[in-house]
Amino acid sequence: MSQPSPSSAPTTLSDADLLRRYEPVLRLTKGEAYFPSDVDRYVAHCSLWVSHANGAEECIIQRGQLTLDALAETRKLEPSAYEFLKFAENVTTLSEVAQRTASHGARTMALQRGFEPGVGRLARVGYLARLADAGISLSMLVRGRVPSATAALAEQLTHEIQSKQQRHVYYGRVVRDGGWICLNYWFFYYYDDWRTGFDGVNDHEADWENLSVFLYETEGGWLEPQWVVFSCHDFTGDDLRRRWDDREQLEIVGDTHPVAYVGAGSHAHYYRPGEYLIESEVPGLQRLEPIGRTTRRLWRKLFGDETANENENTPLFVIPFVEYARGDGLSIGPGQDCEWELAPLDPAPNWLRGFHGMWGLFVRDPVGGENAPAGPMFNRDGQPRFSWFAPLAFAGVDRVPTPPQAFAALAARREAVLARQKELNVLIQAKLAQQQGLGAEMAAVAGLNYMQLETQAGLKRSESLRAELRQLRCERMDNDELIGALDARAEALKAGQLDDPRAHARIVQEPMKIAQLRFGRLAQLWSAASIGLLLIGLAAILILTAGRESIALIAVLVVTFVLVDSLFRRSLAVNATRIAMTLAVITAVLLIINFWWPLLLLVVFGLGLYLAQDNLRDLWAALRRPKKS
Amino acid sequence: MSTQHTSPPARPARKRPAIVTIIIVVFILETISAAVVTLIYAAEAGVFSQQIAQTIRVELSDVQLPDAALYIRVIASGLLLIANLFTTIGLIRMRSWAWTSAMVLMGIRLAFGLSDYLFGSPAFDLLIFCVVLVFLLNQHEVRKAFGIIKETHVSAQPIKRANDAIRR
Repeated sequence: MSQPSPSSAPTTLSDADLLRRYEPVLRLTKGEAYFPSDVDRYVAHCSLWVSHANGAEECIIQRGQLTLDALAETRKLEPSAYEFLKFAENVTTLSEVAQRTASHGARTMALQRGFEPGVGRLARVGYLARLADAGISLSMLVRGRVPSATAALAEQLTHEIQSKQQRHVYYGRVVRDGGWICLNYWFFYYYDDWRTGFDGVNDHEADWENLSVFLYETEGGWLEPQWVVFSCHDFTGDDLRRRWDDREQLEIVGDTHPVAYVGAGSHAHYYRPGEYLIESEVPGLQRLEPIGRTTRRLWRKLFGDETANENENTPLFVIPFVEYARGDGLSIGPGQDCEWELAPLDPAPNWLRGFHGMWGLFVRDPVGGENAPAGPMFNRDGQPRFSWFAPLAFAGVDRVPTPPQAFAALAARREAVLARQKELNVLIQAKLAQQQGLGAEMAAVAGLNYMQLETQAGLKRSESLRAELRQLRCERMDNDELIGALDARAEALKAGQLDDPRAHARIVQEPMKIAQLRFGRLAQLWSAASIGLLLIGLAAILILTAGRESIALIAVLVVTFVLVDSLFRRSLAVNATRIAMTLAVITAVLLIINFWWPLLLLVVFGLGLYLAQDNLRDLWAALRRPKKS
Repeated sequence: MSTQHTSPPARPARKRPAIVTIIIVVFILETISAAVVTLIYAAEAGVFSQQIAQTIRVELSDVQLPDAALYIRVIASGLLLIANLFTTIGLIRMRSWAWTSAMVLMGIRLAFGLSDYLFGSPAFDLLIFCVVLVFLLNQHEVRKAFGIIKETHVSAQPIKRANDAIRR
């Protein structure tokens, strides 16, 4: 019987004890105002509203009267109507808005709490991304969004609630599926002030985040952790998953507590401390991506520019956001600044199952980012949430067998392939016999003109048989290789060889290196102002000039901006070279347009010359060959 | 006790492909022509003595420009001459910065050439010359010779790529 490792747990532990044993450590960033807390007090401070299909909003339960039980009650709603909570009350007068924002603005408060913004996000990205960012900023003027005064008020309310009693709560459940034991931890934050506090994408009331630890039962009868999955924004899939023994990526405290670094304001989870560049794709511009990819590929082939190759799969039109997950703030977990309070979700309480609405303000943002999320079980539209109903599939664990299952799975697969090989052998011999018989028949009727129709039909049959045989032989060969691979895998597992812990991941998010900028402050000022200045310059040129002059001046303006930016980013040589290449391509096109006829003649002339030389060389070689006697 | 003095290791000589030689020859001719042009503008602007200027004017030039424009042209062509000179020396000595400098010079020439084209006085010979030179500079062997393309070894490939291959 194999010995347990320091991170294993006995199978006899109750679900609550299991959750306790592997509960994570959350490390927040200095400046963060919110931390995982309880839903009870939040709901008690909320009012319940309905947004009707016609746009009217109606308060169903007043602040102070709402309880978790009341939240769980089933209410009939017309189609396209939404239920939502309001945490921060409406701030109505202009003076109140100004007063609240000035004194308790999320950004001001974050700075007061010790948050250091570092290098500006716009200074870390290129022009296209800055342009996309400007577009998104402008879209906030017409999209629904959470007012800044609401953010300020939410922070005040949270502070009031927490100052009465500090509670750091996680909601936990245990899911057993496919041989895995999934410990699913949920965290509830009263507010997400990513946009107003930390220059992020959005703000919204209420925030639900989760992470999971996947255990399996060893043959020795112990539970062993194998995978950890951290939720991060709306991402799903294998990239979210890290193997328990991957110490470069996953930090473990006290053998059993994985450490998650929490993004300031957004509360997304990261494996390593630092600043992350989150690039969200611009909605609607994804269709242009194939054009961007083709251009990059062409560019690389034409000019051998390797940097174009590196970026081939990165989206062209992205909005950059810096996520601060530094872990230098409050740390919650066993042996940390604060300890956890466990609230079990097994069985799922009524408020979780019964309330399909949003857990905070609904601002009718068509993109969705500013609307509050629904609970752990549901999406905003009331549909079941993927990470809740399929925690295994959420991060691709459903495709991975547990280590003990892997042997059985390999053996079963080997058996099935061997059985198929036997079938294939029989089939191939039968088809071969058919084909040989047909060959004998064709030889017999060859040359008999009254058997022409039969001969043609026989030829067709023979071709079809040949194709079938080729397919069967290919399958047999593939299966041979598969059996070899399965055996090798079984041997490797038996020998205890481990795979690359990140082999499953397509992209492993890493904290970004601090941008190497020349003239730091000036560069940041330039990054912040350049897009605005560029647009003003373009408008001025179009107003003051016309025709060819405008084109020339716009080109000069764009090139100047790119070169100045390159100077700050230490990439002047690379960008100057690229500009030269671009100009050469444009010039070549103009030359082809202007001289297509002489160019065509030149090509024809060159081709003629080449063919003549080639043929004459053959002739010359033939003439020089000694004649046979 | 004697100390043994060792000279620093010599920089490994890069092999010069034929195209690079062609590029260098073109740049030498280009530098000479830039020197002639600078000379003409300088003579017109009255930089030289009357006698030398007269000779240059008679034999080489029929330029008629206002004084201010002439001085600007003298300075611009002078700067271009210096840049050309340094680039040519760098190209002869196979320095990677010289490749970048040559590309930047071609970019400037192309920008002026395209601007002339837009304003209705195209210099097609200059444009063709620049496009051909950019094409030559971007040949794989030229980039390799100047160290613009780094040679990678198979063993340096990341493990992940091998895993991708297995998955495929």
